[in-house]
Amino acid sequence: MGILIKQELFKLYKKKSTFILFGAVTLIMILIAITANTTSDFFDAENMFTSAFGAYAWIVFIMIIQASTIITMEFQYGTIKNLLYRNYTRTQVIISKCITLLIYSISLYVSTAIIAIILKFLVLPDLSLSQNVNGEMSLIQSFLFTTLGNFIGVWLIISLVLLLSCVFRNTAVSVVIGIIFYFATSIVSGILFLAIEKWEWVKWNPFNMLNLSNQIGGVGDIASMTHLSVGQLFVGNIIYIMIFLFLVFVVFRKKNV
Amino acid sequence: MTILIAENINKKIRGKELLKNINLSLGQGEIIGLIGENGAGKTTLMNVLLGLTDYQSGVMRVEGKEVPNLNHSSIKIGALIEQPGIYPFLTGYDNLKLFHEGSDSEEINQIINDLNMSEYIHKKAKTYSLGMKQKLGVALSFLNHPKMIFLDEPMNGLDPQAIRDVRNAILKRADEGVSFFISSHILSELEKVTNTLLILNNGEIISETTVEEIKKDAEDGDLETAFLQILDEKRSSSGEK
Ligand SMILES: Nc1ncnc2c1ncn2[C@@H]1O[C@H](COP(=O)(O)OP(=O)(O)O)[C@@H](O)[C@H]1O
Ligand SMILES: [Mg+2]
Repeated sequence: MGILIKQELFKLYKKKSTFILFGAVTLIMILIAITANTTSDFFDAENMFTSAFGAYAWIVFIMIIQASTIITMEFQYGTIKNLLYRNYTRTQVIISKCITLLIYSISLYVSTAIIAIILKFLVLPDLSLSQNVNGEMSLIQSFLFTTLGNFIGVWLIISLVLLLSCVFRNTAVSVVIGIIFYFATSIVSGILFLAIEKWEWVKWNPFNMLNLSNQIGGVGDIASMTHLSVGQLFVGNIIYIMIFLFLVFVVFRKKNV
Repeated sequence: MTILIAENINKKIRGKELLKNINLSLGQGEIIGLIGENGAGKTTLMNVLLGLTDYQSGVMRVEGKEVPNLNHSSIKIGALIEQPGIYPFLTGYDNLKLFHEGSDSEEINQIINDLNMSEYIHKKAKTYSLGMKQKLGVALSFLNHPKMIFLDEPMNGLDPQAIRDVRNAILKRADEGVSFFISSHILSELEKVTNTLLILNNGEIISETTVEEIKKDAEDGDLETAFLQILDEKRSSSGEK
């Protein structure tokens, strides 16, 4: 199993896109940070920092692409057969891919968070990490919780993308549906919140779960619309992630290649 | 000693019978040639034996142990099925290293030498020609000292020198006790590595024979003609489908 994870990491490391995408996000962060610095009355500095200078919105796309290709690549290159006839079971192969994605996503979030903190000191020196935001948390607490909320939200999306990739073996299909799922939350939120008002149980649907990071970030009064506490959203996310990943295993184990 | 036994394997997809009552056994160090026209079911049969695709009925045993549907045995296996599975963004060498178990690179170098690949092995695989990719696919199937190797039309796209390299590499390993299951739609290719033949037609093994026997039957001594004749006979006897 360790060997499989090492193989997956090696492939990730050798793929140019891995670093190009990360480099692009870093660049965007720096650009936004500089813009925020020169036009400070236009941007809300606190928000700028807690959203890692916009990076968290982009990481979603990176993770959707990586989650999709880690599966579909093997079908596209025909290497899935090499993976499956060798000494490992199908379950081991798919679990190693999930663990590799986990390692990748953690590294991505940790390095982005570090870059965001460095940028804060460079371009927003007046902003104190311990200053109070929305009455409850310090800035750094708010930042870390937003990061965690984002991270979990991303995993909800990519667990679905992994499932779609196993079923359709097609990068385009799973990436597009993943991105639609991501945007759907904001697009259908109006209807969604109305539905939740009417039928209480609708609050447990996966689209509502994607509000986790917004609710942590205290954007507006979302709690009154999601009808869920942060804790409930958190648990709900984890449960959906487990369900999707479980289905990934089931589908992958039965797949004719 | 028998390594692989398949008994009464049947496979259907959407009502179409792709494999019908397949029975076969492969001994240690034995090379079995699987010959059949395009669409006969050669690739499907190999996929089934490797646990890559499922089947509806039948039993498969490797070294006496039953192997469940969609699984593979615990012995080391090598395979090249249809197109070689290669990561284009890696060099040929890295493709080999990726799947290589253990730390010594001796085995990798040996395979590269056997197949005469040293000239381009450190170039990115996406720059390879069809034949170079095919050889890399063969090289991958040789990795990690497998006991049993499946090669599905391994000579595809190879030039005469490459065909000879692959053939010699196969024979060398068979001498060392490795078992091979090799498919082709060209009999003269198989003839040079094995005598034992299974003729597959419409998902059915219609004959277990040897190259010698086919040659004996051949009126003008041409193998391919003799092979086609066997297929014709089979078709007319089974009521001309
Ligand atoms: N996934 C599939 N679904 C339906 N038919 C298939 C599938 N795979 C193969 N076949 C059919 O099975 C037959 C055998 O195919 P194949 O094993 O690839 O033959 P060969 O390798 O001998 O050329 C062909 O008629 C092919 O169309
Ligand atoms: Mg074939």
